[in-house]
Amino acid sequence: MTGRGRLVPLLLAAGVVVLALGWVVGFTLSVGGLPSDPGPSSAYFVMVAVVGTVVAVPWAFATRMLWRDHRRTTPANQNDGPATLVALAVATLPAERRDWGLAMQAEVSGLAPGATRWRFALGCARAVVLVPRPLSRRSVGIGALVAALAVLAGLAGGAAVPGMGVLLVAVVGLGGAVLARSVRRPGGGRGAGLGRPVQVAGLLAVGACLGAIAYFLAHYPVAAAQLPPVVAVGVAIMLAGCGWLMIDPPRALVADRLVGWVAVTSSAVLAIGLLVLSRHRVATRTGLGDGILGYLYLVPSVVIFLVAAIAAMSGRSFRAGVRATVWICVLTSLLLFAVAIVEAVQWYRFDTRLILAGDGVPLSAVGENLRNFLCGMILLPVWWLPYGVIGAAAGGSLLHRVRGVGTGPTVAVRG
Amino acid sequence: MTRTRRPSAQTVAVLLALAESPETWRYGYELSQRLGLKAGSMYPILMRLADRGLLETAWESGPPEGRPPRHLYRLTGSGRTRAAELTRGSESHARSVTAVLRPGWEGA
Repeated sequence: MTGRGRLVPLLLAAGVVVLALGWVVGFTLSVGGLPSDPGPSSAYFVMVAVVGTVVAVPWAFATRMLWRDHRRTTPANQNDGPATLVALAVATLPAERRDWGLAMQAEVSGLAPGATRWRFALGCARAVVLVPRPLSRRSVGIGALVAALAVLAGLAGGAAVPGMGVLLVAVVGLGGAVLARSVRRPGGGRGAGLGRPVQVAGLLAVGACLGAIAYFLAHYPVAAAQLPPVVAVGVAIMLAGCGWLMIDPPRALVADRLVGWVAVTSSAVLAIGLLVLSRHRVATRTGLGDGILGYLYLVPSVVIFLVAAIAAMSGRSFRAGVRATVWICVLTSLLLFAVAIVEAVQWYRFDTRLILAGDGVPLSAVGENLRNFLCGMILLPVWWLPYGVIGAAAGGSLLHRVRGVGTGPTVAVRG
Repeated sequence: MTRTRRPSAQTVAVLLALAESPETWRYGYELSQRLGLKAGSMYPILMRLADRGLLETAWESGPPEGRPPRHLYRLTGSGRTRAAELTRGSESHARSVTAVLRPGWEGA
Protein backbone atom coordinates (compact mmCIF):
# COMPACT_ATOMS: atom_id res chain seq x y z
CA MET A 1 0.00 0.00 0.00
CA THR A 2 1.34 3.45 -0.88
CA GLY A 3 1.81 6.25 1.62
CA ARG A 4 -1.26 7.99 0.26
CA GLY A 5 -3.16 4.72 0.34
CA ARG A 6 -2.48 4.42 4.07
CA LEU A 7 -3.05 8.10 4.80
CA VAL A 8 -6.55 8.40 3.38
CA PRO A 9 -8.12 5.58 5.46
CA LEU A 10 -6.45 7.02 8.55
CA LEU A 11 -7.83 10.47 7.79
CA LEU A 12 -11.29 9.03 7.17
CA ALA A 13 -11.15 7.08 10.44
CA ALA A 14 -10.06 10.22 12.29
CA GLY A 15 -12.94 12.12 10.68
CA VAL A 16 -15.43 9.49 11.82
CA VAL A 17 -14.12 9.63 15.40
CA VAL A 18 -14.33 13.44 15.45
CA LEU A 19 -17.85 13.29 14.03
CA ALA A 20 -18.98 10.75 16.64
CA LEU A 21 -17.48 12.80 19.49
CA GLY A 22 -19.09 15.95 18.09
CA TRP A 23 -22.42 14.17 17.90
CA VAL A 24 -22.22 13.02 21.52
CA VAL A 25 -21.32 16.55 22.64
CA GLY A 26 -24.17 17.98 20.55
CA PHE A 27 -26.63 15.48 21.99
CA THR A 28 -25.47 16.27 25.52
CA LEU A 29 -26.01 19.98 24.89
CA SER A 30 -29.42 19.35 23.34
CA VAL A 31 -30.67 17.72 26.54
CA GLY A 32 -29.34 20.51 28.72
CA GLY A 33 -25.76 19.44 29.37
CA LEU A 34 -24.38 16.86 31.76
CA PRO A 35 -26.85 15.77 34.42
CA SER A 36 -26.17 17.27 37.83
CA ASP A 37 -26.21 13.77 39.28
CA PRO A 38 -25.08 11.37 36.59
CA GLY A 39 -25.16 8.46 39.02
CA PRO A 40 -22.17 6.17 39.02
CA SER A 41 -19.82 8.08 36.71
CA SER A 42 -18.42 4.93 35.16
CA ALA A 43 -21.91 3.86 34.03
CA TYR A 44 -22.56 7.31 32.60
CA PHE A 45 -19.37 7.37 30.59
CA VAL A 46 -19.97 3.83 29.39
CA MET A 47 -23.32 5.06 28.05
CA VAL A 48 -21.60 7.97 26.29
CA ALA A 49 -19.06 5.58 24.78
CA VAL A 50 -21.84 3.28 23.58
CA VAL A 51 -23.74 6.15 21.96
CA GLY A 52 -20.55 7.40 20.30
CA THR A 53 -19.85 3.93 18.96
CA VAL A 54 -23.41 3.56 17.68
CA VAL A 55 -22.91 6.79 15.73
CA ALA A 56 -19.39 6.00 14.55
CA VAL A 57 -19.87 2.45 13.24
CA PRO A 58 -22.48 3.23 10.54
CA TRP A 59 -20.50 6.30 9.56
CA ALA A 60 -17.34 4.21 9.25
CA PHE A 61 -19.13 1.86 6.84
CA ALA A 62 -20.77 4.73 4.95
CA THR A 63 -17.52 6.67 4.61
CA ARG A 64 -15.76 3.56 3.33
CA MET A 65 -18.50 3.01 0.73
CA LEU A 66 -18.39 6.63 -0.43
CA TRP A 67 -14.60 6.51 -0.68
CA ARG A 68 -14.67 3.21 -2.59
CA ASP A 69 -17.23 4.62 -5.00
CA HIS A 70 -15.07 7.68 -5.51
CA ARG A 71 -11.96 5.57 -6.14
CA ARG A 72 -13.76 3.13 -8.41
CA THR A 73 -15.38 5.77 -10.59
CA THR A 74 -12.45 8.13 -10.84
CA PRO A 75 -9.37 7.66 -13.03
CA ALA A 76 -6.11 7.17 -11.16
CA ASN A 77 -4.83 10.66 -12.00
CA GLN A 78 -7.98 12.20 -10.58
CA ASN A 79 -8.31 10.53 -7.20
CA ASP A 80 -5.30 11.77 -5.27
CA GLY A 81 -5.46 14.53 -2.68
CA PRO A 82 -5.38 17.59 -4.99
CA ALA A 83 -7.80 16.08 -7.50
CA THR A 84 -10.16 15.00 -4.72
CA LEU A 85 -10.01 18.47 -3.22
CA VAL A 86 -10.96 20.03 -6.55
CA ALA A 87 -13.67 17.40 -7.14
CA LEU A 88 -15.23 18.16 -3.76
CA ALA A 89 -15.01 21.91 -4.36
CA VAL A 90 -16.52 21.84 -7.83
CA ALA A 91 -19.33 19.57 -6.60
CA THR A 92 -20.67 22.62 -4.80
CA LEU A 93 -20.83 24.64 -8.00
CA PRO A 94 -24.27 25.31 -9.43
CA ALA A 95 -25.14 23.56 -12.67
CA GLU A 96 -24.53 26.61 -14.86
CA ARG A 97 -20.89 26.69 -13.73
CA ARG A 98 -20.37 22.99 -14.41
CA ASP A 99 -18.03 23.58 -17.34
CA TRP A 100 -15.71 25.65 -15.19
CA GLY A 101 -15.55 22.90 -12.61
CA LEU A 102 -14.68 20.36 -15.29
CA ALA A 103 -12.07 22.78 -16.64
CA MET A 104 -10.35 22.95 -13.26
CA GLN A 105 -10.47 19.18 -12.84
CA ALA A 106 -8.95 18.69 -16.29
CA GLU A 107 -6.10 21.08 -15.54
CA VAL A 108 -5.31 19.46 -12.21
CA SER A 109 -5.33 15.96 -13.69
CA GLY A 110 -2.79 17.13 -16.27
CA LEU A 111 -0.26 18.28 -13.68
CA ALA A 112 2.45 16.07 -12.26
CA PRO A 113 2.05 15.05 -8.61
CA GLY A 114 3.76 17.37 -6.21
CA ALA A 115 3.69 20.90 -4.88
CA THR A 116 2.58 22.48 -8.17
CA ARG A 117 -0.42 20.20 -8.35
CA TRP A 118 -1.36 20.99 -4.75
CA ARG A 119 -0.93 24.75 -5.29
CA PHE A 120 -3.08 24.73 -8.39
CA ALA A 121 -5.73 22.60 -6.67
CA LEU A 122 -5.87 24.94 -3.67
CA GLY A 123 -6.24 27.84 -6.09
CA CYS A 124 -9.11 26.07 -7.82
CA ALA A 125 -10.84 25.47 -4.48
CA ARG A 126 -10.47 29.17 -3.76
CA ALA A 127 -11.85 30.00 -7.19
CA VAL A 128 -14.97 27.98 -6.42
CA VAL A 129 -15.53 30.10 -3.33
CA LEU A 130 -14.98 33.25 -5.38
CA VAL A 131 -17.26 32.30 -8.27
CA PRO A 132 -18.32 35.68 -9.64
CA ARG A 133 -21.80 36.85 -8.86
CA PRO A 134 -22.30 40.02 -10.87
CA LEU A 135 -24.87 42.43 -9.53
CA SER A 136 -27.77 43.33 -11.75
CA ARG A 137 -30.47 45.94 -11.35
CA ARG A 138 -32.84 43.10 -10.58
CA SER A 139 -30.73 41.70 -7.77
CA VAL A 140 -30.13 45.16 -6.29
CA GLY A 141 -33.89 45.69 -6.33
CA ILE A 142 -34.46 42.35 -4.66
CA GLY A 143 -31.82 43.19 -2.06
CA ALA A 144 -33.52 46.49 -1.20
CA LEU A 145 -36.91 44.81 -1.04
CA VAL A 146 -35.54 42.06 1.19
CA ALA A 147 -33.98 44.57 3.56
CA ALA A 148 -37.29 46.41 3.87
CA LEU A 149 -39.20 43.15 4.35
CA ALA A 150 -36.71 41.99 6.99
CA VAL A 151 -37.24 45.13 9.04
CA LEU A 152 -41.01 44.87 8.69
CA ALA A 153 -40.97 41.16 9.52
CA GLY A 154 -38.91 41.82 12.61
CA LEU A 155 -41.18 44.57 13.85
CA ALA A 156 -44.41 42.73 13.07
CA GLY A 157 -43.20 39.31 14.22
CA GLY A 158 -41.67 40.64 17.41
CA ALA A 159 -44.86 42.50 18.25
CA ALA A 160 -47.12 39.54 17.48
CA VAL A 161 -45.04 36.79 19.10
CA PRO A 162 -42.37 37.77 21.61
CA GLY A 163 -39.10 36.06 20.74
CA MET A 164 -39.76 35.84 17.00
CA GLY A 165 -38.38 39.25 16.01
CA VAL A 166 -34.70 38.41 15.58
CA LEU A 167 -35.48 35.05 13.99
CA LEU A 168 -37.77 36.60 11.39
CA VAL A 169 -35.33 39.40 10.55
CA ALA A 170 -32.53 36.89 10.10
CA VAL A 171 -34.61 34.42 8.10
CA VAL A 172 -36.03 37.06 5.76
CA GLY A 173 -32.62 38.69 5.34
CA LEU A 174 -30.73 35.46 4.69
CA GLY A 175 -33.54 33.99 2.60
CA GLY A 176 -33.59 37.13 0.50
CA ALA A 177 -29.84 36.96 0.04
CA VAL A 178 -30.19 33.38 -1.16
CA LEU A 179 -32.90 34.43 -3.59
CA ALA A 180 -30.94 37.41 -4.89
CA ARG A 181 -27.83 35.25 -5.28
CA SER A 182 -29.66 32.72 -7.39
CA VAL A 183 -31.50 35.33 -9.45
CA ARG A 184 -28.37 37.25 -10.40
CA ARG A 185 -26.61 34.24 -11.88
CA PRO A 186 -27.44 33.24 -15.41
CA GLY A 187 -29.65 30.18 -15.24
CA GLY A 188 -29.75 30.30 -11.44
CA GLY A 189 -32.75 30.08 -9.20
CA ARG A 190 -34.66 27.37 -10.97
CA GLY A 191 -33.56 24.42 -8.96
CA ALA A 192 -31.26 23.46 -11.81
CA GLY A 193 -32.93 20.16 -12.57
CA LEU A 194 -33.83 19.30 -9.01
CA GLY A 195 -37.52 19.19 -9.83
CA ARG A 196 -40.45 21.05 -8.43
CA PRO A 197 -41.58 18.45 -5.88
CA VAL A 198 -38.49 18.79 -3.70
CA GLN A 199 -38.33 22.54 -4.17
CA VAL A 200 -41.94 23.18 -3.24
CA ALA A 201 -41.98 20.65 -0.40
CA GLY A 202 -38.68 21.97 0.95
CA LEU A 203 -39.73 25.61 0.95
CA LEU A 204 -43.07 24.70 2.51
CA ALA A 205 -41.22 22.70 5.16
CA VAL A 206 -38.99 25.69 5.95
CA GLY A 207 -42.14 27.81 6.32
CA ALA A 208 -43.71 25.11 8.48
CA CYS A 209 -40.71 25.21 10.83
CA LEU A 210 -41.07 28.96 11.25
CA GLY A 211 -44.81 28.59 11.77
CA ALA A 212 -44.27 25.86 14.36
CA ILE A 213 -41.82 28.01 16.33
CA ALA A 214 -44.24 30.93 16.27
CA TYR A 215 -47.11 28.63 17.35
CA PHE A 216 -45.04 27.28 20.24
CA LEU A 217 -43.89 30.70 21.41
CA ALA A 218 -47.42 32.06 21.15
CA HIS A 219 -48.59 29.32 23.53
CA TYR A 220 -45.56 29.42 25.81
CA PRO A 221 -43.89 32.85 25.72
CA VAL A 222 -41.55 31.70 28.48
CA ALA A 223 -39.88 29.49 25.87
CA ALA A 224 -38.46 32.59 24.20
CA ALA A 225 -35.59 32.25 26.68
CA GLN A 226 -34.45 29.29 24.57
CA LEU A 227 -34.25 31.49 21.50
CA PRO A 228 -31.76 34.26 22.33
CA PRO A 229 -30.48 36.32 19.38
CA VAL A 230 -27.42 34.10 18.80
CA VAL A 231 -29.53 30.95 18.66
CA ALA A 232 -32.15 32.71 16.52
CA VAL A 233 -29.50 33.66 13.98
CA GLY A 234 -28.15 30.09 14.03
CA VAL A 235 -31.64 28.73 13.34
CA ALA A 236 -32.09 31.28 10.56
CA ILE A 237 -28.81 30.18 8.99
CA MET A 238 -29.96 26.55 9.06
CA LEU A 239 -33.34 27.37 7.55
CA ALA A 240 -31.88 29.70 4.93
CA GLY A 241 -29.30 27.02 4.13
CA CYS A 242 -32.11 24.55 3.52
CA GLY A 243 -33.84 27.15 1.35
CA TRP A 244 -30.61 27.55 -0.64
CA LEU A 245 -30.43 23.80 -1.16
CA MET A 246 -33.94 23.85 -2.55
CA ILE A 247 -33.56 26.91 -4.78
CA ASP A 248 -30.03 26.45 -6.03
CA PRO A 249 -28.71 22.97 -5.20
CA PRO A 250 -25.05 22.10 -5.74
CA ARG A 251 -24.42 20.11 -8.88
CA ALA A 252 -23.58 16.96 -6.92
CA LEU A 253 -27.07 16.95 -5.40
CA VAL A 254 -29.06 17.59 -8.54
CA ALA A 255 -31.42 14.66 -8.83
CA ASP A 256 -33.99 13.45 -11.31
CA ARG A 257 -37.71 13.77 -10.75
CA LEU A 258 -38.09 10.20 -9.50
CA VAL A 259 -35.60 10.79 -6.70
CA GLY A 260 -37.39 14.04 -5.90
CA TRP A 261 -40.76 12.37 -5.62
CA VAL A 262 -39.32 9.52 -3.57
CA ALA A 263 -37.76 12.00 -1.15
CA VAL A 264 -40.92 14.07 -0.80
CA THR A 265 -43.17 11.04 -0.34
CA SER A 266 -40.87 9.37 2.18
CA SER A 267 -40.44 12.46 4.30
CA ALA A 268 -44.19 13.16 4.22
CA VAL A 269 -44.93 9.58 5.32
CA LEU A 270 -42.44 9.91 8.18
CA ALA A 271 -43.96 13.22 9.28
CA ILE A 272 -47.49 11.81 9.15
CA GLY A 273 -46.27 8.77 11.06
CA LEU A 274 -44.97 10.99 13.84
CA LEU A 275 -48.22 12.94 13.93
CA VAL A 276 -50.29 9.74 14.16
CA LEU A 277 -48.02 8.34 16.88
CA SER A 278 -48.23 11.53 18.90
CA ARG A 279 -52.00 11.84 18.61
CA HIS A 280 -52.46 8.18 19.44
CA ARG A 281 -50.37 8.49 22.58
CA VAL A 282 -52.20 11.57 23.73
CA ALA A 283 -55.62 10.09 22.92
CA THR A 284 -54.97 6.73 24.59
CA ARG A 285 -52.72 8.07 27.33
CA THR A 286 -50.25 5.31 26.62
CA GLY A 287 -46.54 5.70 26.11
CA LEU A 288 -46.47 9.36 27.09
CA GLY A 289 -43.56 8.65 29.40
CA ASP A 290 -41.55 7.26 26.47
CA GLY A 291 -41.81 10.35 24.31
CA ILE A 292 -41.01 10.13 20.60
CA LEU A 293 -37.27 9.58 20.88
CA GLY A 294 -37.46 5.99 19.67
CA TYR A 295 -39.48 6.94 16.61
CA LEU A 296 -37.11 9.76 15.65
CA TYR A 297 -34.02 7.59 15.73
CA LEU A 298 -35.29 4.22 14.55
CA VAL A 299 -38.13 4.65 12.06
CA PRO A 300 -36.48 7.19 9.72
CA SER A 301 -33.24 5.16 9.77
CA VAL A 302 -35.09 2.09 8.52
CA VAL A 303 -37.18 4.00 5.98
CA ILE A 304 -34.18 5.90 4.63
CA PHE A 305 -32.18 2.68 4.33
CA LEU A 306 -34.95 1.02 2.32
CA VAL A 307 -35.76 4.03 0.15
CA ALA A 308 -32.10 4.64 -0.65
CA ALA A 309 -31.76 1.00 -1.70
CA ILE A 310 -34.82 1.31 -3.95
CA ALA A 311 -33.59 4.62 -5.38
CA ALA A 312 -30.19 3.09 -6.15
CA MET A 313 -31.85 0.15 -7.87
CA SER A 314 -34.33 2.22 -9.87
CA GLY A 315 -31.68 4.78 -10.78
CA ARG A 316 -29.12 2.01 -11.41
CA SER A 317 -26.66 4.13 -9.53
CA PHE A 318 -25.19 4.16 -6.02
CA ARG A 319 -25.14 7.92 -6.24
CA ALA A 320 -28.85 8.09 -7.05
CA GLY A 321 -29.42 6.37 -3.72
CA VAL A 322 -27.06 8.77 -1.96
CA ARG A 323 -28.81 11.77 -3.49
CA ALA A 324 -32.18 10.40 -2.41
CA THR A 325 -30.75 9.95 1.09
CA VAL A 326 -29.59 13.55 1.31
CA TRP A 327 -32.92 14.95 0.17
CA ILE A 328 -34.95 12.67 2.45
CA CYS A 329 -32.76 13.64 5.40
CA VAL A 330 -33.14 17.35 4.72
CA LEU A 331 -36.89 17.23 4.15
CA THR A 332 -37.57 14.80 7.00
CA SER A 333 -35.53 16.86 9.42
CA LEU A 334 -37.58 19.96 8.63
CA LEU A 335 -40.96 18.24 8.64
CA LEU A 336 -40.34 16.27 11.83
CA PHE A 337 -39.20 19.47 13.54
CA ALA A 338 -42.43 21.23 12.58
CA VAL A 339 -44.65 18.32 13.62
CA ALA A 340 -42.79 17.71 16.88
CA ILE A 341 -42.90 21.36 17.95
CA VAL A 342 -46.63 21.67 17.24
CA GLU A 343 -47.31 18.39 19.00
CA ALA A 344 -45.13 19.46 21.93
CA VAL A 345 -47.77 22.07 22.71
CA GLN A 346 -50.43 19.33 22.97
CA TRP A 347 -48.23 17.09 25.09
CA TYR A 348 -47.47 19.83 27.58
CA ARG A 349 -51.04 21.05 27.71
CA PHE A 350 -52.30 17.51 28.27
CA ASP A 351 -49.77 16.10 30.71
CA THR A 352 -47.05 18.76 31.35
CA ARG A 353 -44.50 16.55 29.59
CA LEU A 354 -41.74 17.23 27.09
CA ILE A 355 -42.45 15.39 23.87
CA LEU A 356 -38.93 14.14 23.18
CA ALA A 357 -38.47 11.75 26.09
CA GLY A 358 -41.71 12.22 28.01
CA ASP A 359 -40.13 14.01 30.99
CA GLY A 360 -42.54 15.90 33.22
CA VAL A 361 -41.31 19.47 33.73
CA PRO A 362 -42.57 22.73 35.24
CA LEU A 363 -43.83 25.48 32.94
CA SER A 364 -40.54 27.33 33.23
CA ALA A 365 -38.82 24.42 31.45
CA VAL A 366 -41.30 23.94 28.61
CA GLY A 367 -38.87 25.74 26.28
CA GLU A 368 -36.62 22.69 26.44
CA ASN A 369 -38.82 21.36 23.67
CA LEU A 370 -37.39 24.04 21.39
CA ARG A 371 -33.81 23.37 22.40
CA ASN A 372 -34.22 19.61 21.96
CA PHE A 373 -35.52 19.90 18.43
CA LEU A 374 -33.36 22.78 17.24
CA CYS A 375 -30.35 20.61 18.08
CA GLY A 376 -32.19 17.66 16.57
CA MET A 377 -32.37 19.41 13.22
CA ILE A 378 -28.63 18.77 12.95
CA LEU A 379 -28.19 15.65 15.07
CA LEU A 380 -30.96 13.59 13.49
CA PRO A 381 -29.84 13.91 9.84
CA VAL A 382 -26.30 13.08 10.91
CA TRP A 383 -27.72 9.95 12.57
CA TRP A 384 -29.83 8.95 9.53
CA LEU A 385 -27.39 9.72 6.70
CA PRO A 386 -25.08 6.69 6.98
CA TYR A 387 -28.03 4.30 6.90
CA GLY A 388 -29.07 5.80 3.59
CA VAL A 389 -25.56 5.47 2.17
CA ILE A 390 -25.41 1.84 3.30
CA GLY A 391 -28.87 1.30 1.81
CA ALA A 392 -27.75 2.78 -1.50
CA ALA A 393 -24.78 0.43 -1.59
CA ALA A 394 -27.02 -2.51 -0.68
CA GLY A 395 -29.46 -1.59 -3.46
CA GLY A 396 -26.66 -1.35 -6.00
CA SER A 397 -25.24 -4.66 -4.91
CA LEU A 398 -28.63 -6.35 -5.08
CA LEU A 399 -29.22 -5.02 -8.56
CA HIS A 400 -25.89 -6.47 -9.66
CA ARG A 401 -26.77 -9.87 -8.27
CA VAL A 402 -30.21 -9.87 -9.87
CA ARG A 403 -28.68 -8.98 -13.20
CA GLY A 404 -25.70 -11.22 -12.68
CA VAL A 405 -23.27 -8.45 -13.56
CA GLY A 406 -20.02 -8.11 -11.67
CA THR A 407 -19.46 -8.76 -7.98
CA GLY A 408 -18.83 -5.29 -6.62
CA PRO A 409 -21.03 -3.70 -4.00
CA THR A 410 -22.04 -0.82 -6.22
CA VAL A 411 -23.34 -0.34 -9.72
CA ALA A 412 -22.20 1.84 -12.55
CA VAL A 413 -22.51 5.53 -11.90
CA ARG A 414 -24.27 7.77 -14.34
CA GLY A 415 -24.00 11.18 -12.76
CA MET B 1 -23.96 48.66 -14.70
CA THR B 2 -20.38 47.49 -14.43
CA ARG B 3 -19.37 47.68 -18.08
CA THR B 4 -17.76 51.06 -17.98
CA ARG B 5 -15.76 50.40 -14.84
CA ARG B 6 -12.08 49.87 -15.46
CA PRO B 7 -11.18 46.24 -14.96
CA SER B 8 -8.68 45.20 -12.31
CA ALA B 9 -4.99 45.01 -13.16
CA GLN B 10 -5.15 41.23 -13.23
CA THR B 11 -8.15 41.27 -15.58
CA VAL B 12 -6.34 43.68 -17.88
CA ALA B 13 -3.33 41.39 -17.84
CA VAL B 14 -5.47 38.40 -18.83
CA LEU B 15 -7.14 40.38 -21.62
CA LEU B 16 -3.86 41.66 -22.98
CA ALA B 17 -2.24 38.25 -22.77
CA LEU B 18 -5.06 36.70 -24.75
CA ALA B 19 -4.96 39.60 -27.21
CA GLU B 20 -1.29 38.98 -28.00
CA SER B 21 -2.32 36.09 -30.19
CA PRO B 22 -6.08 36.37 -30.51
CA GLU B 23 -6.59 33.36 -32.74
CA THR B 24 -4.80 31.00 -30.40
CA TRP B 25 -6.74 28.96 -27.89
CA ARG B 26 -5.20 29.09 -24.42
CA TYR B 27 -5.88 26.89 -21.39
CA GLY B 28 -6.12 27.70 -17.72
CA TYR B 29 -2.83 26.40 -16.38
CA GLU B 30 -0.95 27.93 -19.31
CA LEU B 31 -2.45 31.36 -18.60
CA SER B 32 -1.79 30.94 -14.92
CA GLN B 33 1.88 30.20 -15.56
CA ARG B 34 2.21 32.89 -18.18
CA LEU B 35 0.85 35.62 -15.95
CA GLY B 36 1.96 34.33 -12.58
CA LEU B 37 -1.66 34.32 -11.47
CA LYS B 38 -2.97 31.77 -9.00
CA ALA B 39 -5.89 29.63 -10.13
CA GLY B 40 -7.99 31.19 -7.39
CA SER B 41 -7.66 34.58 -9.06
CA MET B 42 -7.56 33.52 -12.67
CA TYR B 43 -10.69 31.38 -12.98
CA PRO B 44 -13.05 34.01 -11.51
CA ILE B 45 -11.55 36.49 -14.00
CA LEU B 46 -12.10 34.10 -16.89
CA MET B 47 -15.67 33.47 -15.73
CA ARG B 48 -16.40 37.18 -15.59
CA LEU B 49 -14.93 37.74 -19.04
CA ALA B 50 -17.01 34.88 -20.43
CA ASP B 51 -20.16 36.18 -18.67
CA ARG B 52 -19.60 39.55 -20.34
CA GLY B 53 -19.18 38.00 -23.75
CA LEU B 54 -15.51 38.95 -24.01
CA LEU B 55 -14.23 35.39 -23.87
CA GLU B 56 -15.01 32.44 -26.09
CA THR B 57 -14.65 28.95 -24.66
CA ALA B 58 -14.29 25.52 -26.22
CA TRP B 59 -13.25 22.03 -25.23
CA GLU B 60 -9.99 20.55 -26.44
CA SER B 61 -10.47 17.85 -29.05
CA GLY B 62 -8.41 14.67 -28.90
CA PRO B 63 -6.69 15.02 -25.54
CA PRO B 64 -4.03 12.45 -24.63
CA GLU B 65 -5.40 9.22 -23.21
CA GLY B 66 -6.02 9.42 -19.48
CA ARG B 67 -6.39 13.18 -19.37
CA PRO B 68 -9.78 14.88 -19.67
CA PRO B 69 -10.11 17.51 -22.40
CA ARG B 70 -8.98 20.97 -21.44
CA HIS B 71 -11.22 24.00 -21.44
CA LEU B 72 -9.82 26.48 -23.94
CA TYR B 73 -10.17 30.23 -24.12
CA ARG B 74 -9.71 33.04 -26.59
CA LEU B 75 -11.12 36.52 -27.01
CA THR B 76 -14.33 37.17 -28.89
CA GLY B 77 -14.63 40.12 -31.23
CA SER B 78 -15.89 42.22 -28.32
CA GLY B 79 -13.03 40.98 -26.22
CA ARG B 80 -10.48 42.03 -28.82
CA THR B 81 -12.12 45.42 -29.08
CA ARG B 82 -12.03 45.80 -25.32
CA ALA B 83 -8.40 44.75 -25.19
CA ALA B 84 -7.57 47.25 -27.93
CA GLU B 85 -9.38 50.00 -26.03
CA LEU B 86 -7.48 49.18 -22.89
CA THR B 87 -4.20 49.20 -24.76
CA ARG B 88 -4.93 52.53 -26.46
CA GLY B 89 -6.58 54.16 -23.46
CA SER B 90 -3.88 53.52 -20.97
CA GLU B 91 -0.79 52.05 -22.46
CA SER B 92 1.25 53.24 -19.57
CA HIS B 93 -1.09 51.53 -17.15
CA ALA B 94 -1.01 48.37 -19.18
CA ARG B 95 2.77 48.48 -19.26
CA SER B 96 2.88 48.84 -15.52
CA VAL B 97 0.50 45.93 -15.15
CA THR B 98 2.46 43.67 -17.41
CA ALA B 99 5.66 44.77 -15.77
CA VAL B 100 4.58 43.40 -12.42
CA LEU B 101 3.31 40.18 -13.92
CA ARG B 102 5.49 37.50 -15.38
CA PRO B 103 6.49 38.32 -18.96
CA GLY B 104 6.50 35.99 -21.95
CA TRP B 105 4.72 32.78 -22.88
CA GLU B 106 7.05 30.49 -20.98
CA GLY B 107 6.83 27.09 -22.52
CA ALA B 108 3.53 27.85 -24.18
